[in-house]
Amino acid sequence: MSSANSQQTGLWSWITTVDHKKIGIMYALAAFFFLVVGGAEAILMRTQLLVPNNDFITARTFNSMVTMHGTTMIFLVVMPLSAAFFNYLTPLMIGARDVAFPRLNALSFWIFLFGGILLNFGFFIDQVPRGGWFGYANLTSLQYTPDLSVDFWAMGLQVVGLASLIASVNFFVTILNMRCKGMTLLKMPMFMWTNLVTQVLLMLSLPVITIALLMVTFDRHFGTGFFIPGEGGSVILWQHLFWVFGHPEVYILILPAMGIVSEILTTFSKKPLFGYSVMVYSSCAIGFLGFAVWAHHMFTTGLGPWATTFFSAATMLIAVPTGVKIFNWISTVWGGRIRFTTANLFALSFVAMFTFGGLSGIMHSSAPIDSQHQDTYFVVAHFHYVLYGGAVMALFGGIYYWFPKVTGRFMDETMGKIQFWLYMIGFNVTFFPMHFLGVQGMPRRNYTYAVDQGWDLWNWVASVGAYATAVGGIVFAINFFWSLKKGAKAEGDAWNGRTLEWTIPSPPHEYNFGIEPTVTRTDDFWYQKYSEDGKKLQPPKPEKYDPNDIHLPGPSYWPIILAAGITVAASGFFVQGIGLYVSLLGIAVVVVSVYGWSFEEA
Amino acid sequence: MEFPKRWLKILLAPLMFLSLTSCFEKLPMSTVHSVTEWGNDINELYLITTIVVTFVFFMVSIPFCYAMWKFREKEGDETIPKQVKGNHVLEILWTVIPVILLIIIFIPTFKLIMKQYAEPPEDALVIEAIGHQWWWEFRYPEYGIVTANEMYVPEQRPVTIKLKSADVIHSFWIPRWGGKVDNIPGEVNTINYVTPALEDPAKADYYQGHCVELCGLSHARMRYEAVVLSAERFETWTKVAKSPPKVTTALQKKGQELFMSKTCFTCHAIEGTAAKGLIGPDLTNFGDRRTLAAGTLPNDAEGMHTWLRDSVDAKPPYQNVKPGSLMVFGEGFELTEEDIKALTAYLHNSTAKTF
Repeated sequence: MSSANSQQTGLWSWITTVDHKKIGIMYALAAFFFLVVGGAEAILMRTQLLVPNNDFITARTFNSMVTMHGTTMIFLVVMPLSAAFFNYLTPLMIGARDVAFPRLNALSFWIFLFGGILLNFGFFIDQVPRGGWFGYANLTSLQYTPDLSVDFWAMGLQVVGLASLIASVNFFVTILNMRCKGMTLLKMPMFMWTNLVTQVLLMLSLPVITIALLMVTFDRHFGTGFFIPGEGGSVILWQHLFWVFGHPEVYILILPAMGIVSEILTTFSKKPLFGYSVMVYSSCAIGFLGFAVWAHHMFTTGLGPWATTFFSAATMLIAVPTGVKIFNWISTVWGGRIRFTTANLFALSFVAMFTFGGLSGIMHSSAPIDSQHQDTYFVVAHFHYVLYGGAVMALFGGIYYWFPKVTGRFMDETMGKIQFWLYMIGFNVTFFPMHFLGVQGMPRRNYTYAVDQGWDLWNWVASVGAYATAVGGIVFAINFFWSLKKGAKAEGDAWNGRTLEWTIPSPPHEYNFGIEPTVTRTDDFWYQKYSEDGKKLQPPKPEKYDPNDIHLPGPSYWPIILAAGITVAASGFFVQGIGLYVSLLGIAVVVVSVYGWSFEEA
Repeated sequence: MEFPKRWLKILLAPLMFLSLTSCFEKLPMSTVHSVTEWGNDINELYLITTIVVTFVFFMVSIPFCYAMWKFREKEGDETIPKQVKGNHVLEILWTVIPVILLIIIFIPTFKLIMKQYAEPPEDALVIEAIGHQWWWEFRYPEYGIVTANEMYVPEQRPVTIKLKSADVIHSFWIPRWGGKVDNIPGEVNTINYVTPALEDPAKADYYQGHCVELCGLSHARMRYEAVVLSAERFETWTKVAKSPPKVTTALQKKGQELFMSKTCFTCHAIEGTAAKGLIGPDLTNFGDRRTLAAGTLPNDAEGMHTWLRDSVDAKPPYQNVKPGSLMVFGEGFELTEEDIKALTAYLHNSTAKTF
């Protein structure tokens, strides 16, 4: 047991921490690392496609880059970066001292980190996954991919998925049970709502991919034939399972971004979120409908007329709550006093880019049109507008917005704006021409293209845009490290915020709130500072408390050991000959650490 | 920062021009230059959708841009804006209007889906298109013809293409003919067309196709062509397509012998000879094809040289022309320059070339 006074530092304190804030920071740092990896993969691809018939990288390397770029960006960048915000902010925004299960929280981080390494392990032995991020059967079968690359992919994702599943249960329970006094569900900040919906989506969709990945592993290692047509299996079954997970996954990536943007726009417009309850219902509707649209990824597989019609209609329907959100964001900004900070620029660009991606999405919600766009660069353009121009831009906005809360220092605005414009221009120069390439019929995932196709110009333009984005990334890295040391000091309420995290010092104490807060309404903190008609109010005097009275869960090294055990057990699939013993060793470690964990005093 | 409008125009004009021309340029795989009814139907729907989303785009971007400009923070302004929390009428409005717009898209979508899945006419020409890693096999059950990478069809005739796969998932797509359908191992999909009319009945029209599902290493090298002929010439083609290459010169004779001795026959078939291999493309009318290795190289002496050299010298999956391809010569099967010439002379002299 530790009290609030014994704030630890040093490497060991990070390894054994159960503090949601430290875990959040570690999630973000890990995501940044993988962002560099995934970005480098994108740059390699764009360089290969710079000119036709290029031989900068081989077909094998290119297919690996396609696969790992997608897998990395989705599972190891956007998801953990969202998780970083969930971790750091959930207790702060709902007025709690930690999450519901702090050690479970540490466990999910370590499992995620080890799983991410497992997923990338192929790089060390030149067996990098190369079957696409969707890993369509039966290209992933032993017959067509005889090396270990698919196993790295399947087991890596399995382990990473476990981390997300554990985290989702944790945040679901946290949000439902740990809200401070007075904060009913409909008084939560918008980010907490999209957070909650995301956790539900994770809990419902991850089991599907878990089973699918297990089936593929069984096919490869134990001679089952779930996805092998010659043995009575079905390759289409994989597509259904993958997309039943894969489409909710899209909303898992975008919903947190929507929440972050809602927070940033309200703060910098100095207005409450327009149509709060409609926004909540829209988020729920998106989460619900997200489970009914998966087969729009499969329009070209010959679903039959009625299934095609149903999934076309459902896909169009999901545009309604999404559109409602966009109009509500615009109305939030409307009539405000908009401050164009870097964070706000990223948030505003999210609205613009996400709208654009949504509109091209409406185009291929119509199955016949999709049959011309499916698997071309038009689709590549579409989902990068949604997930990169959308989700990633919003996450960067979130970083600029909450950096002062986390570190007590502002990020540099000049460098921030340079990065923003490099990103914004680079992004559009890269991905807008891809619409043209798609209309001109360029298939995705092609490692090269012939001179006679006429795709040279826009590929060249797209690659140049990618380089500009890379420069933007470097500017961000410089800004990040510079601001950590030399950024302007930030006070607790760094941006004149509206939510509870701004009521406490920056960076927060380990125990978050000296006295657990009580709220009476949405944006309670704002109305403590200003009256309804905008008059400045005298803030109430802070009450006194004794930090020694605050009980916090003690640090524990069992989560990291348990995570290591799970990873070792999973890696048994990659070891020739003694694989079974490696797995058994891993399981033994798991059993021992579960016991250690259970008997440890919290 | 004020940005002179003139500069904006000067900057944007060439961009607009480039993007417009590139959209409407008639490239081999353009999706908007359709030549079949199926393709035209899709593009009509595409146009309706484009108009709707363009309308929505302006509905969103105009108020958004206006709000950002109008409500930007001015120096020294410390007023707190009115804390507006919502508006029921507006919420209903921007729920209902999108629904109406979506119905406008949905109705023609529904009609077209039903049309796509309608039964083809009974007199349709049936062709089997079988995807292989990484080439296309075309079978004409009616005529007993097997060919590869070039699909011959008569003009203005309904054709039903049965899509199959020999290994992994591929996807059959001739962009100027309309949308794609996947070739799925263990299943049979169908795609129906009425073939386009010829521009010049004495000539053939070529339409490019490409596999559009990641199917392994050389997915990018899996092109094919649909060749449209007049009904008459198509009939002639069906008669000559099954005859083996003619062997008249000594060089062609040597090529034929090499074909049998260098193990080519184990994978490739040539009608009327002992070569019955099923792994690689049927080479009976190879000499008639415009390209080789599924649209990777021109089918001329130089192309053959590059292809055969690479197949002998490079170790899979590290070939230069088509990584991972099964087109490899076993250990100890070297080809001299003379051998390559002989094989080329033999294979290029298809009977089909003479029709």
